[in-house]
Amino acid sequence: MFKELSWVRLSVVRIGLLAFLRKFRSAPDQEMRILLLGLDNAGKTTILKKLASEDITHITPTQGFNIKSVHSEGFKLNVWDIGGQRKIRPYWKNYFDKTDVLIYVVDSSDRKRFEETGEEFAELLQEEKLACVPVLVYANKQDLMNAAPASDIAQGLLLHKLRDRMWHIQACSAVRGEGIQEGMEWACRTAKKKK
Amino acid sequence: MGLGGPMPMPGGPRKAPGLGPTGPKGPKPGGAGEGLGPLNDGIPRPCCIGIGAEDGRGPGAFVASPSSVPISPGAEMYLQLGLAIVSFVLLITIYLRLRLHSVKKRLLRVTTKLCELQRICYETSAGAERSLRIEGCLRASKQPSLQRLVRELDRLAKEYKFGEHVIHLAVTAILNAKNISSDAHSPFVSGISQSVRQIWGYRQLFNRLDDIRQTQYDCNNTQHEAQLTNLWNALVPTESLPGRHGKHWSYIGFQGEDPASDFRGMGLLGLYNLQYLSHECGEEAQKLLLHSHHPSYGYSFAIMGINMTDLCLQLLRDGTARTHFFNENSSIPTEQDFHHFYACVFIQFDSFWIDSKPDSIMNFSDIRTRFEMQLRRQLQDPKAHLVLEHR
Repeated sequence: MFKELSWVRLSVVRIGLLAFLRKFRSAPDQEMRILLLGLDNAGKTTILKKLASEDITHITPTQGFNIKSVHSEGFKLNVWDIGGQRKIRPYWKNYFDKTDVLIYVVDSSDRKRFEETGEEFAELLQEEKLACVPVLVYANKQDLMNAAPASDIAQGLLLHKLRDRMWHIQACSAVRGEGIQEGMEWACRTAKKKK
Repeated sequence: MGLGGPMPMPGGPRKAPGLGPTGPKGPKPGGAGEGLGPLNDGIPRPCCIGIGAEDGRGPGAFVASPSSVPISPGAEMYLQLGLAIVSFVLLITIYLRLRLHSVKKRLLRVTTKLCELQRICYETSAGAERSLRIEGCLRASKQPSLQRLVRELDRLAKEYKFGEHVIHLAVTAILNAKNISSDAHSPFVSGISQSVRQIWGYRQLFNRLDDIRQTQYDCNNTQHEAQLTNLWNALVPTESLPGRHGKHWSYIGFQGEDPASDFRGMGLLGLYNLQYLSHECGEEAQKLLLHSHHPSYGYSFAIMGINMTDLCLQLLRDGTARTHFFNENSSIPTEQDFHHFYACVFIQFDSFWIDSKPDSIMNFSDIRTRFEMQLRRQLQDPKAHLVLEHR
C-alpha cells in the first residue's frame, strides 16, 4: 500500500516537473527581424554589441555585416547590422525583406553629415519593401559635448511628416548603454501590436 | 522591459496532434512522437511518460513511447546503484590518472636525477616547442617559491619592468628552487634563460600593444596627424596629400572623408601597423593596394588593415601567436616583431580573400571566420613561423 502511494507521489512530482519544463519549451520566442542602418561611424555595431551584452572596446569598421540573435521580452530579435560605408550602401536593399522594425542610427555629434544622413533616411523611406515598417531612430552619442538634441534630429529627418508608419526617436549613448533598452522596448511593443 | 501579459502564440492551438480525448488510436509505426497515440484505455500507468517530439509542436503532449516501459521500483533502485558504482569507478580512474603523472615525474626525477624543467630543456629544441612546455610546467608548479616567481614576473611584465636583469634573477631563483648547480648544468641555464625571456617578453609586448590600442587617434595631436600624412605619402608617393579631409582617403581604403573615425577600438595601433606595412614592406603594400582596387575582388585597404590589427591582437591575447613569436627570435620580442607578424597575416589574408572569389564585400564576415580558423590551425603547430610571402 505504502509502496503504491509513494509511486503515485513520485509520478505526480514527475508530471509536475515535466509540465514545468515543458512550459519553457512550449513558448518558443516569437522571431523578429531588425535592421540596423545608418552612416558609417554612427554606432550601429556598438548598439548591436550592447544589445548582446558584449565588449565594445574592440570595435572595428564593419565590412559587410554583423548579425546577432538576442532574446528579449519573449522575442528572439535577429538584429542585422549592415556596414554604413558609402561603398556598401547599395547592398542595403538586399536585406530589406521581411523586416519587422527598421532602426536608423544617427551620430548626433556629426553635424557636418546631418544632410547626408537625412538623404539616406529619406531614400530608405521610399523603398517599397520597407513600406509601413515601423522605424526607430536612435539619436546616438548623446554623451558627447556637441551632440544635437533628439528633437533637432527628428526635425532634420522630417519625422513629423511621416504618415504611413509608426516612428519613434530615442536619444541614446551606446557607449554608456543609456537609452538603448528604452528604444528596444518601443520596437518590441510596436512589433507585437502589428503581429 | 515592462511588456507584460501572456505571449500570443503563432500557429494555432498548441496541442500535440493525436492527443485529443477521442478514444484509443493504435500507435502508428514510425511516427515518432507526433503520431504515437495516447494510451487512452483507462488503465493508469504511472511511468508512461515520454517527452513530446522535438518538432516544437508537441508541448503538453504526454506521449507514450516504446522506450519508456514501466520500470518496477526494485529495478529502478538497481539502476541507480549501478549508476553510482559506474561514476565512482570513473572518478577513481580520473584520480589515479592524475596521480600517475606525478608518480611518473617522481620516478623520472629519481632515475635521471633531473627535474621536469631540465628534462624539457634537454629533450626539446629551442623555440616554441621548448618555451611552451616550460611555461606550462612553471605555471602548473605547486612549489610556493616558483608560484611566487611566476606571479612576480607577470606583474613586472604588466609594469614594463621585465628585462635582462630580471631574467638573470628569475633563473637564479629557479636554480635555487630546484637545487640545480649552474656550473654542472650550463646548457640548462642558457635554455631556461631563453624560455623565460620569450615567455615574459611576449606578455610584456602584449601589454604594451594593448596600451597603444587604447590610445585613441586625436585630430588635435600634431604627431598623430603627421603619422597619418606619412601613411598617405608612403602609399601614394606620386601624389602629395590633397587635404586633411576629402574623398581621396577612400583611395587607400578609409570609409569616409576623415580617417580619424575609422581607427575606433584599434586606436593608434591600427595606424602604426599600416604605417609599418607601407614603409617597411613597401612592395607588398603596393601589391595589396592594387588588389584592393580589383574590380570584382576589391576591398577597402585601410579598414581591412584595421580589422587585421584586431585579429592579430586577438591571437596574441589568447596565446595562439606564441608559437610564431617563440620561433621568430630568441630575444625579447618588440613592437617591430608584432608589425612584422601583422604584415604576414595581412598578406596571407589578401591571398585567401582572392582565392575565395567573394561575390562582394558582403561575404567578408564569412571569409574572415574561415581565414581565422585556418590561421589558428597553422599556429597550433609548435614549428609555426609566419614569413612574408606574396604572389
